[in-house]
Amino acid sequence: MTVRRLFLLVIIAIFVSLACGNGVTREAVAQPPPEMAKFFGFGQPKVEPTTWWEAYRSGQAAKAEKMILPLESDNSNDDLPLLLLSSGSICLSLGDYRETARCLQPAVGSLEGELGSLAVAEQVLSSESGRLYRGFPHERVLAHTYLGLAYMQQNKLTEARVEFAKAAEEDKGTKPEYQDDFAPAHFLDGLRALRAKDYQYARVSFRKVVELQPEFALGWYSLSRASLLDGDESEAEDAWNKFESLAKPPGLFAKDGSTPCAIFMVDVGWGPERVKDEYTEEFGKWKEPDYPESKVLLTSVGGQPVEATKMADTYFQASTTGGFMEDVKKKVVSAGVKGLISSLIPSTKKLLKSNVDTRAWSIAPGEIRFAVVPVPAQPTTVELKTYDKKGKELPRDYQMLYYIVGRPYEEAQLIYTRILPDANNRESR
Amino acid sequence: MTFSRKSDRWWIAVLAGALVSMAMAGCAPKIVPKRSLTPPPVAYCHDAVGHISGNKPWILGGNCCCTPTKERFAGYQQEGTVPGIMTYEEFLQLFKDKGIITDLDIEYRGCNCRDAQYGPHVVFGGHCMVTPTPGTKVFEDVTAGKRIDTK
Repeated sequence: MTVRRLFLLVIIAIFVSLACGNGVTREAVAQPPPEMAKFFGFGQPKVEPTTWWEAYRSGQAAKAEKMILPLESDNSNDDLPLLLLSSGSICLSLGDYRETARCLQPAVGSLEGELGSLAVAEQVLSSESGRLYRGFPHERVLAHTYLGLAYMQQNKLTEARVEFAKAAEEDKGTKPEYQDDFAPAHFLDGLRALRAKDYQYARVSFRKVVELQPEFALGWYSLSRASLLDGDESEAEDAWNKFESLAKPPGLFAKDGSTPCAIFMVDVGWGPERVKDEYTEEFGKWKEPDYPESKVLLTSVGGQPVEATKMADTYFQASTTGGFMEDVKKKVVSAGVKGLISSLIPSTKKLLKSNVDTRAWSIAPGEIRFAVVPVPAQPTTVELKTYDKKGKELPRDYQMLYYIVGRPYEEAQLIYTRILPDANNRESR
Repeated sequence: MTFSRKSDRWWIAVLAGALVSMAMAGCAPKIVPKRSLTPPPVAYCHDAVGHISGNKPWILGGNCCCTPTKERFAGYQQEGTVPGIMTYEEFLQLFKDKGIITDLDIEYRGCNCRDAQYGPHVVFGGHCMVTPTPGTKVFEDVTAGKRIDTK
């Protein structure tokens, strides 16, 4: 080998080591540079967001909050209820329950308030996308549930109870089996009742949870605890046995509830989008969202991983509450009235448009998951990891939560976390 | 231009390899080390991490930011971290005099010290001693008593 070739080989070796080395440690987490993210098919190119929606979808919750705030001051904006719902989502992911309640309270008021006759006329005559946003049934259920969560975390247990009850009331499914089938509202209400030491009420709530989700292990564990605290050892034993048969992994908790733990509520992915139906383009339908997260694992340092199990799917909720037939009914009424007016006053024909309303609370999560994780009774680190359908870890979602303290189940902290991209960069949250 | 000589083709191959390596070096995923699984020690106790016995109340120059309930005050008295002659009402007055809000101020609970008027947390020079929300950066920074690097 000549000296020249040897020299060139050394240069190439240096470049290759720079490419692959870069101070890698075994615990390193890869982050793709923006310009190559699409090429390698992972991560998202980092483009500076120009709207609050883009900011939130890219994981910059604090930035999204700053951008959406000025929009909320315009009371004449027909999208105001939707902006408030979205603001509620943003504040929730920033751990600000007070602001979450401040946003969601007027939002649910607008979504459910009675309209005056003038407003009704405007709703019938105006373009669908130009009307005051009244939301969809599943959005009202979600809004009440999150408002209940916000109150519960502020220890306003009576207000929380009211909201969870309203969530159940608003859950009007298209079929009997879809009515009042939103398990998270019942589960959170049960946790609230445990905190309030109303064990009988807690048992009712958890019984509803296991009725809706019989394979949900945490539901059975909750029922077991509530029953034992309420003095019913028989139901406690039955529920405990069911929990042990479903728990993955089993054997992490003591039957007497003495194992200190923390409860995690994990919101994953994105809510369904509203699109025009492909046949007539006159009606709206729900489009199932696309996101990579398929599995969520939580691990306390020194402990075993616990999966956060899916308790609700917002696309399913959207598709089974109101939906297409409601749309048809509204359209028929509106089209009928518009048709009559334009036949009497032909010049109004162009004004009485009927654009399909494709607005929706799409930054709401696609899934709501829960897990109870054994955590020691002193400050401990808990890792959160997500995986795609093929079982590959998604580094962008990784979270490391410090100083989590375990307590007996009925006193356990409920820790809410939103899976957002670029989770390592906590400053943006 | 032809590259009939073996040595020319060898040069081309080497140059191409060098260029690809340079491109990979510039475009290779940057490996970002995770932060340590062991956080900084707890510098300030509060309701969400539990009271550390012996910690003096923050309002009296200590490191305890627990909500000043009657039970907590009784605990301070037992630990000897508040003056013996002080009453609970006098203790609460200290917070009012400094304009400090706590979880006892119901309307501010759950604000995670993000309120524009009272935030940030007293640990960082603000007027908010509301219990921070577990799982958030505010919570970690307050507990550690300093801004923790997130990367």
